[in-house]
Amino acid sequence: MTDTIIAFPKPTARPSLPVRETGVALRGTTQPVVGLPMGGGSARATVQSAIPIDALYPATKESAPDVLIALGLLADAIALLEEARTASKARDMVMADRYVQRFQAALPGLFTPRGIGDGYGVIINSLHFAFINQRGKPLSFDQLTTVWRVLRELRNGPFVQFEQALDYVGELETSGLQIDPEAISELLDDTDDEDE
Amino acid sequence: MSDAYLETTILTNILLKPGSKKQAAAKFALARYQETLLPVYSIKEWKKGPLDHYAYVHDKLVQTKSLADTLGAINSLSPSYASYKKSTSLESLEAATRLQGAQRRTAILSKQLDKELADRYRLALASLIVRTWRKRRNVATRTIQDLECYTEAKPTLDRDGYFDLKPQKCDPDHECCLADALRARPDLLKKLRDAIPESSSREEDRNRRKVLKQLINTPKLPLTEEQCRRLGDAIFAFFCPPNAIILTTNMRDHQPLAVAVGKIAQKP
Repeated sequence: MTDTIIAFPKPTARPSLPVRETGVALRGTTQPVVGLPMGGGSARATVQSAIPIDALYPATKESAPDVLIALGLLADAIALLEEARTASKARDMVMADRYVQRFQAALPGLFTPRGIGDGYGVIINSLHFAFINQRGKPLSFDQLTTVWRVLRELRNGPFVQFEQALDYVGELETSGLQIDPEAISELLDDTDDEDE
Repeated sequence: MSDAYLETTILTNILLKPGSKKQAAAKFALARYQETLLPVYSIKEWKKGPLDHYAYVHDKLVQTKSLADTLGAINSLSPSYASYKKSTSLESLEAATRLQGAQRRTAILSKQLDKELADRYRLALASLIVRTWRKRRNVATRTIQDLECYTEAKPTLDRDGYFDLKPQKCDPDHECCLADALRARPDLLKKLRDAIPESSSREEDRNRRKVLKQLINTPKLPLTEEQCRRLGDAIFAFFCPPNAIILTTNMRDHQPLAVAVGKIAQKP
């Protein structure tokens, strides 16, 4: 066993390189003209305008159908989660789970208007895989609250930017939900891995 | 040994194999050590290898808007493309998107479903790539051995939705920042070279031996970015701190090199 410590070269000061931000407006992720509460976690949420989202996107013939569909479905989903939270607070775990089951059944429909933007899509998709990975196990009250809060913020700002949406996804993950599809690792070979 | 020095396979298993047994084993192994040390060299290899492969699959989904076509394209790649490619079945990925595993569809997917699956995996991959990049320096208790000639730039999406993972290489205008430290220990370089069988038919071994030979025999020749990359596993054996073990799933390559310089390689 060698005891000689090899000094790793220490970096010297270098001129800072310009860092390119993602800053890419993916399809449907343009910022709304009017200052909307765009979310980013409850602590970060700043309400710039008191205009409710339903007033901004009234159901008229000219309205973008995806947004209206999403707003309606999100309202229903949030209502189910509210019921689930109420039941959970009353320690009626079976009833709480039944509301969550109904919410879970609504997730495929919520994914349909994903043309709104990748920020919207990635949150709904993460929830979809989270429920698959739960394998029917009921959500804890904290998880339920996190999902409910994230969806409320999403409904307030459905045009959330992709990178900002990943902050919400991170909150779901921090609550203990496993939001990545397990099958994704099937895309990666293990040639360097002797366990295979 | 109180510390673990994390090799690229461990970083990959922790970050890019969510919910897998390999991820669980790697996380469990990390908990055994007082300190876990992640060299930036591991981050560099991880970004250029496995993370880049995920970005490639993501981009193929953007291009084709079809999971079936994406898998067909990936599975048709020549084996020389990269060691990361894996033959993956459409059925297994499709089944993994079902809320109830039993409800399998027929072999021929409708176009609409195929597009939906492509969107699901595209979003999941984009999410995983960006989030794991954010988390990379929190995998170990400490991230160490920054590379002066390498810029850790975050993955970005361009206007067409394709990932840009550049730079994946070190600055070609400067000599490898590890060169002087390597040259200062010709005794270790010789031990590492001797640990690689001269008769090995593996290209990886031949290249590594060649670079080590150059460092020993003609130390004044500059060490290029490509040569640094070819050193690969030898870098871990050389720079692993004396109170740490090299934690890797690739014992075949790392163990002989580690043993040659009086260090230890371990599986999770």
